[in-house]
Amino acid sequence: MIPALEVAGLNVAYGVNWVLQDVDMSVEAGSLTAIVGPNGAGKSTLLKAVLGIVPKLSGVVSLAGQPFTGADPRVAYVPQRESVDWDFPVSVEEVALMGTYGHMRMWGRPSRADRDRAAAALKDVQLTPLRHRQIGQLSGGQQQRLFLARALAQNASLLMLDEPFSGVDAASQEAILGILEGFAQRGGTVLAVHHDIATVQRAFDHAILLNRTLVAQGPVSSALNRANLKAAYGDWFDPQEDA
Amino acid sequence: MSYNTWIVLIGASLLGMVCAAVGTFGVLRRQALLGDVMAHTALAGAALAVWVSGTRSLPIMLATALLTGALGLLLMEWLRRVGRLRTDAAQALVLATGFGLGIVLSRVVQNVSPAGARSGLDGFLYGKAASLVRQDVFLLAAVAALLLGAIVLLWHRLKLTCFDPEGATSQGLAASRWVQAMNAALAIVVIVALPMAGIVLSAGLTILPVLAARFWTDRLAKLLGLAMILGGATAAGGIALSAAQPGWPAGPSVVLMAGLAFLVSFLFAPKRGLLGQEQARIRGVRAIQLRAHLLATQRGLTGPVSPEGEREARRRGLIDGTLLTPAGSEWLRSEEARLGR
Repeated sequence: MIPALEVAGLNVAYGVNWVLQDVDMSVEAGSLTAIVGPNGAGKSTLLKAVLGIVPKLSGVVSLAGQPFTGADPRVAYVPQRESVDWDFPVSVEEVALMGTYGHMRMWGRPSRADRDRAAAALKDVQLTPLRHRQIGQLSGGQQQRLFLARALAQNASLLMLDEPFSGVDAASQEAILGILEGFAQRGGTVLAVHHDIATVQRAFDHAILLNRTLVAQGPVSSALNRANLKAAYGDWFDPQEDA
Repeated sequence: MSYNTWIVLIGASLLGMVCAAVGTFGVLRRQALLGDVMAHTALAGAALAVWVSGTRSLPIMLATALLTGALGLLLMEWLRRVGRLRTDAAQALVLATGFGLGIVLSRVVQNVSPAGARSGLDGFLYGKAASLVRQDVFLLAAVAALLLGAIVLLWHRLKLTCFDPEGATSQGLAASRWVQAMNAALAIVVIVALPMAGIVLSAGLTILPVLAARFWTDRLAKLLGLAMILGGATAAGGIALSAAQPGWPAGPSVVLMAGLAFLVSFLFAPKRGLLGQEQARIRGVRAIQLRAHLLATQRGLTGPVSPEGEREARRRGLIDGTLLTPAGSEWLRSEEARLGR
């Protein structure tokens, strides 16, 4: 089967800081794959490099076997919640609708179909009753679900999420996980950066263990075995504490 | 009012409107001070034009001012990106150095060349609104129509780019191109505003009306419309003020009016304004204390859990001695229903 996403020979640096070193990875189509690793391992940078938000020094990316340069509506990106200004004067509904802009012409207006898609996405994440609110009036978990709705409205085949569970309570985390599982069951692929190994072991089927360079990848049970985790996190890693 | 005053009034309102429209996007991108950097680096360009060509033509001076203003902006971006300076540091550096260079150049020019002495470079510092003529109004109207047309046409692109540039990039929408377009628009309106409002104050026209308007609405379209109305109205108000009060300079009067609009919004806007927020807070605190006291009374607690709540309950006739009155029971019932208890 052709992988949903494949990366070969990826190197990224910020100034003199060599953040990603010779990363090769592949994400199985229809999988729930987590990118795991210590702070500063380059997890978010990996997503941003694939998406073309951060420049690559080297590396090829392919999406479903086709060359991919980033900036493509087939891939939906859910950034970290802190990356935008939640005081911005837009409503919940308008943000969900932004997911459809990739298909629109430069001077275009959202069509009836776009609005329906955004409304359906809001319903999926159960934010329909709050659709007229200004986005700053949402809780952290609701804001995260809104970003997810925007990505769903994009009708993408690959969802890339950066720390979708940070600052989110247990109920919202379960809700988000349920939505991601549904997305994968309908044939989509999910690639999420996440720092909590216990959640990954419970809810994801594949993992990519990263510490600037690729440490391991594959099904969660083998990729996140004790030896690999120790290699990525060093001697400080205590599986009892994280499990 | 004289014909000239009308011209100045119309020109200033147009300028105020278009500055506020373009400034809305700058403020939302948290780049409010970009205009200030450009205005301060622009003087050097105007002075250079006078020095090199001996010109006294305002359009040529403004064109070169736009050039050095844009250079200042690029330098700032370069310092930030390649030089890894923080945004505020890069802004302060370019703004101060560029302004210093501009002042020195304009003094030198005024001393060495006869054209320089009559070039009106000094007028750039504080602005001379009274110098607006009919052609300027036509120019302003054209610039306004062009920019507003572009905003309407590109509305959704601009909205997404301001809100989440990385998200826009990931959708293939070339956010950096739209950021540059918005910066270019900001540069144009700030330079166009220079002769009227002056270097120090022209960027204020792109910021103050937007900050004031933000207190009244949570929607981008309304924010844009309201900022334009406030920008136009405060510009007209400032001009009228300076016309009525001999000796009041026009540019600073306009900015003062915009500051006043901000102050009024900041204090009195119903939901976001300081008084409204404080009122809502006090009302909330009172309701909590009153409810706490009524609940305690209902349970037969004798010591007051809230002296403020007890005073309020007595004042409103919700308790009688240590017992709830019927009105008190009713208030408590509806409050519990409202809270979903």
